Amino acid sequence: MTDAAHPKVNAISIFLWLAVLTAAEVGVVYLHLSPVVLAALLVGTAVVKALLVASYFMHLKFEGKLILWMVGGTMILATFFLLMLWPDIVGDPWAWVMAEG
Amino acid sequence: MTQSSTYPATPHGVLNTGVNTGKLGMWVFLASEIMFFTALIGSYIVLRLGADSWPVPGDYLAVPVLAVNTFVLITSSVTMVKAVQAFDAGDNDRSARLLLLTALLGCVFLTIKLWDYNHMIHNEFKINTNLLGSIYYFLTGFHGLHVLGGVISLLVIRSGVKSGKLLGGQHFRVEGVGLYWHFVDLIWIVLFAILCLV
Amino acid sequence: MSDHHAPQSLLSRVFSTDHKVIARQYLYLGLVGLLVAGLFALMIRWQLAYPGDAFPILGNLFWGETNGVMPPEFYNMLFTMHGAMMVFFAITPIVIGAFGNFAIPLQLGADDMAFPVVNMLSFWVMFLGAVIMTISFFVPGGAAGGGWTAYPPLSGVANYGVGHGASLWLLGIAFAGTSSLLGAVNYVVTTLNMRCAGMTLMRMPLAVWGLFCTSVLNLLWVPVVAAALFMMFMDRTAGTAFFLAGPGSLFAEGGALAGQSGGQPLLFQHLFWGFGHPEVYILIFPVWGLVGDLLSTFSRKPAFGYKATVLSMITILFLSQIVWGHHMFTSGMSPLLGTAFTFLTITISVPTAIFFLNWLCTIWRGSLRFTPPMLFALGVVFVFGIGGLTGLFLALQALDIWLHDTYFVVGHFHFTLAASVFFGTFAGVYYWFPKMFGKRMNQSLGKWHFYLSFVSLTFVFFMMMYIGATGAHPRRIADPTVYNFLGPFQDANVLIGWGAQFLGVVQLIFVWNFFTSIRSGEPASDNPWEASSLEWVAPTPPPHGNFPVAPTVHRGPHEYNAPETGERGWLTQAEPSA
Repeated sequence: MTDAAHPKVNAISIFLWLAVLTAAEVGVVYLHLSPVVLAALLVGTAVVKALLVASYFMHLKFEGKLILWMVGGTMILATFFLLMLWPDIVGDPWAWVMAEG
Repeated sequence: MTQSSTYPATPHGVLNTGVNTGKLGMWVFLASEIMFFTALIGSYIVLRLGADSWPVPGDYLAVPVLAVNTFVLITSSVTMVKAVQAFDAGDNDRSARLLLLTALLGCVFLTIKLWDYNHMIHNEFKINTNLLGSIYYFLTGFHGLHVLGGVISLLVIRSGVKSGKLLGGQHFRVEGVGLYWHFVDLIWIVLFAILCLV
Repeated sequence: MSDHHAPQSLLSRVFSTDHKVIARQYLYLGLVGLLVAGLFALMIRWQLAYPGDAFPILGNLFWGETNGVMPPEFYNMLFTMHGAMMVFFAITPIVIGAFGNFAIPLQLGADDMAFPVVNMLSFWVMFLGAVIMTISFFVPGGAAGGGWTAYPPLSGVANYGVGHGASLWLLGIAFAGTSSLLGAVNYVVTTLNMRCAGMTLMRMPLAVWGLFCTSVLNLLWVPVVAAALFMMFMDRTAGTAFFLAGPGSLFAEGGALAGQSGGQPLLFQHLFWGFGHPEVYILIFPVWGLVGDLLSTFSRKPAFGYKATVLSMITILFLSQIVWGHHMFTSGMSPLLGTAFTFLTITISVPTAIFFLNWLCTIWRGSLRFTPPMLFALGVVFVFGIGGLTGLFLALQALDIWLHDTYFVVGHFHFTLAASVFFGTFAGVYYWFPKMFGKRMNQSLGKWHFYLSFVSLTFVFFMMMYIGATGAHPRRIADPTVYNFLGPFQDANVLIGWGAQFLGVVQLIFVWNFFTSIRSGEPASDNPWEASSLEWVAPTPPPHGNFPVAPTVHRGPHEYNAPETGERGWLTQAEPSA
């Protein structure tokens, strides 16, 4: 296995990406966009930043199947759990879809 | 007992999976942490979407201060990566310096955080002011406890690295603390965007 | 490598990192928990049999102002603490803590757990939790009385009937959960990475598979309930309102936010049962695995359909995480969710039936040896069968609305989980006692213990299902005689009461047997049961590091009377074929 051999990650370039995205996040708040667009943009950038940290700083990009399955499976479970909370706490998802449509 | 040292029993770290035991343990633990923060952040998401009205976070939170804090934590992740790279290259002194720097950045984060809490409580924004307050203090509080745990782990591992007690075979211990530290960073990235800005 | 295993002082013996010492510590803690929580159950049954009468002994001591009659608030504490302590401080330390710590490294041929220090911490964190739970009885207002489910809003508000005990209760459970989590990290990593040469995943004893599945569920869901418990702790102490509704609700005052948009009580139910349903599988997986091994060993036959059993356990591991809503059918939850949860719940019966039939096929035409562990394993098969079948009724929304919160549910739960784990505990203790302590327990006392327990326990829980299904006898009330419609069932309550007391007295046989055997039992040989898994290859009791020579595994764990085993009819996993 390649345990000992850590791939050389260029930490500075990842840092720059993270810094730019963070600045963009803060900046976009002052644009006074509609709440839905703002939320979508912010969640989108947060996901990109989280993926950068996980893939490069935490080496997930270079890990074997076992760890990828572990993390991926947990993320799927977490998403499922969140979706199952939706109807009771947020409201009937179908009614919401109908109203938006 | 002396017999234990003469027993050629299975050594620790048999690698049935090929993955370092320490690394596997840390990832298993982080999977558990993912579920913990799923429950916290997930509760926030559904409570917020289900609420009749929600205050604008910027009206209560000191967003520029939190943005500075984000930079502090991202920077500490970089020093952490460098520390692990130095340790792998066999440069224990440099690695120990970088670990100390990482821990110090963690302390800076916590100091700013406490100042931020103090400032907001002074402005009558408390944990029982409204649901935003409850969730803000609760979530960032738990994140802060994780940072504190990370700082302590960093200092412990640094003393091992500095004294040269941690060598090749235990290389994963430094990387393990690193994984944990990056995870804490990652959680803050998510909290900052969806709790403090949206 | 093993220097840190060598005990030198009292301190290093108490805070030992040796998995076998930790297993014994867990066992003692769990048996004390079982005793305390069991006494609570006996008191509950006595109160329901003779409500309104002075309570023997305790009545004069505590409740002078009511002429010795137990007040309803105390009854609430009893059933809350019975449930919580049984689950977190009796079953968890025994079947997961003690059996897991003892069996996993030995059965896998490892010298210890992957992280021995974490293992030690795991026990002491649980010990701390048990201390906090004990303290909660002595604070003003007494222990928690909100039921083991602690539903908000009533449990979430500091001044509605329950005092500081409930806050301590939340902390105690959180500590027990942290302990389970630390243990689970160890179990998963040890199982994945510490197996000796030749021990492939499909050669592991079923007990290890059970403990592995348990640990995965612990890892994923304990954090979720921990989050919920902390949130409720904040609701009770810091004035937040995660689980308390906003203005206009009955509970908007009293420390909770006034005039703000509040939280949702139903959120707690989701978070709690998200953990709560996997929790029943967490507790029973180790017993399922152990029973699978015992049935095979004492029938002198290979476990029927080993692979199918493993696969069905893994399937249940997945399914058990997505069915929690069937506990909430009467909560006013979304009908969309209710239907989904009914369907998923019924799906679980498929893998369950597979491994249950595998058990039956394992004993079919075997040469059965009715030792105490085998008797208790057969007991598990019986009570789990009854419990599993009655579970099907509860999975259906329409039936559940009638049966919800009645003694039918209590009976079902106690057959499926409590009785199974109760019998599983004794099966494990009788089975591993020789290896743990180097002595044998008295076999005929063990058999008497089983027969008398089996009869009384089955009677008690059958009667509970009867009064629940026919009379819709609610489970929470302290005094059934105040309701006219329950009048016809009071005789049944008296019978259950006496059956329960009898069951309690019978356990003294075990206590006596356990302690006299530790002191003066006959010395045990290395493999008294002629079993083939690896713990019986190690010396008795196993030294630090377990195996003089690291074993190499040549076959699966249950190859009894297979052709290669020759005249003797069995080989350990470590013996090469003749």
